Amino acid sequence: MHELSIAESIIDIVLDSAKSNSAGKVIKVTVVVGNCSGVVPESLRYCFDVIKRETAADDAELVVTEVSAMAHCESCGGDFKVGQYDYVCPKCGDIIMPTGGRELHISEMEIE
Amino acid sequence: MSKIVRLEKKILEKNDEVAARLRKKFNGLGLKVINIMSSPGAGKTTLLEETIKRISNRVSLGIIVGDLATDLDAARMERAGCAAVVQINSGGRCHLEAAMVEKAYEEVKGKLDILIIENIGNLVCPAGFDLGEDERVMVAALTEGLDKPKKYPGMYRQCGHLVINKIDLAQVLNIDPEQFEHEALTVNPKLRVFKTSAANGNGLGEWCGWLESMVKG
Repeated sequence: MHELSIAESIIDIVLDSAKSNSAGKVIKVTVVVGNCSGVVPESLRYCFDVIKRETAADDAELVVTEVSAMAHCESCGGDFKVGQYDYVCPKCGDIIMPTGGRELHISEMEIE
Repeated sequence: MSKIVRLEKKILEKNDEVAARLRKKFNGLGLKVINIMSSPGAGKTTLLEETIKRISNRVSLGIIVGDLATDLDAARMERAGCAAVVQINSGGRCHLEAAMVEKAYEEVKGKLDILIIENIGNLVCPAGFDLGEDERVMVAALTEGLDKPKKYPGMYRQCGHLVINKIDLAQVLNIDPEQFEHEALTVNPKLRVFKTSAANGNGLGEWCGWLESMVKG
């Protein structure tokens, strides 16, 4: 359940930024989460809703944009999107190592 | 009137900053740091006890050990002969963070060659947090079963080294350690694999040899 730590970090960054932008209220926060980052979007939303209470982000909606890891197969040369649990090439069945998919960042927020 | 503020900030930037600071400090001291991760009960502490007994007369070893609660592990490693052990209690957190290591390191006594960080037993969460280490080692016990590499690929892919422990139980479990290695290499072909029994000492020579080579290198 490290989503709690992740949610705390999101709220820290958002509140800092809201303050420096003289915002009274945070309306929406958009985060990018890779499908191999080990973060479960549903758990993250749940934790975010707990951590945001009684802050300027009390009513903020968390939008999670999921991005996929990619893999290049050395054997057949194919490039394709992969899930966290994929380990073989869908075309030729050789073993592949995903690249990317570990993204974990806040892209933007809406304030007023 | 609402407005959009572009942030493009890493969510774990604070942890990454502390980890980078630690890595710089450790490099400056010539200290090699290893982050050991596993599921609960894989045998990390027993492996470390046996490692301490074998190399602490030649290598100055420090250990930071993370647990949800209790200082049982730290006491075991002190009894095994490690003079520099610090226990972190995460108070329920499922992983260690760089700031916890930074604080614990202040309590580590003496000049060290190797610092081992024994992470919280968990196959998911610790993989996401950089602790300023040089190497990530995963310990997997044969008792976990052959399906685990494919069920927890994130952890297997985030480590450069794998210790397959409890190989003395291969016959009872009817699991071939070679097959476990094959399963692990299927999710991460780059892993360097050690096969050990911390209980009877098999394979510990190669594991300890690798640790000692880090200091010489």
